[in-house]
Amino acid sequence: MIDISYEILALYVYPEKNNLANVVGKVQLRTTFSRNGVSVNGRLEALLDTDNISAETFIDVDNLNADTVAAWAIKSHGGDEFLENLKNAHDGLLTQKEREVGLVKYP
Amino acid sequence: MALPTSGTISINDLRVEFGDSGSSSLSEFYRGGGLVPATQTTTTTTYEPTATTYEYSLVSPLYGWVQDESSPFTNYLYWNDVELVQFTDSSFNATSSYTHTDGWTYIRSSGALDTGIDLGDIIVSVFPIRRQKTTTTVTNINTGVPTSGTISLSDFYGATA
Repeated sequence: MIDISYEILALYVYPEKNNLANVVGKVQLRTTFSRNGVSVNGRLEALLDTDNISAETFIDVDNLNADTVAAWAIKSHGGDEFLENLKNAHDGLLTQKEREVGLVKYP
Repeated sequence: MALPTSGTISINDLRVEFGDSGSSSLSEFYRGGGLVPATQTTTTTTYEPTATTYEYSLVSPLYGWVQDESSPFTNYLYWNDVELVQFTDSSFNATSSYTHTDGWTYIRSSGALDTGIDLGDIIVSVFPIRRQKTTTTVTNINTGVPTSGTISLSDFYGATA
């Protein structure tokens, strides 16, 4: 099973939208795919749906964490199916890294 | 499996198709009312050139993932002559995929096909590249079934869960 973690690289905000301040409209994330002690990285960018935000569901930009932002980004790209395909795209790279574990340069 | 498009439909057929239990009345089967879906979501994934092959061309049209071999390890992604993005990495070969805001994810091969290419001010390696995109389509279904008001069994010809 491939585990995935996220790191926020950059957030782009609308300073004011729908009477809300600093509405996140675009994100850049580093994605790390890990399995059996090896990992590969990806970079994920997404434009977020900001047309249907409301004060009730709004999260202040300073209170956002990487998992929340990643969930928004993944949803914008198609949700779980997108995520599974993204993981599958890194499967071969992880397999190669797994096969290289323990190798040392000779002599 | 969809209900028949002609002939007799019973309320038991509706219960089986839409997963209702207990006693049923037709008013439970309004479109979008919880049992009868109003939309169907289909997800497809497109791969270019394929799910397992990679593009590489250093003449027009350019295809490939180009990376500066020394700091700041700038990445340049080209697809069909378009430079998609530039970004830097902390080390060489640190990033294996890039998902653009338009939904395409670009994946580079594990190894560079060309290394040590002297572009004058930088030395780069070039990796073959492929891309994939997940597309979700929402289609209206069961449009013959009313959402309220008068409802009859014949409204369910061809309806599907």
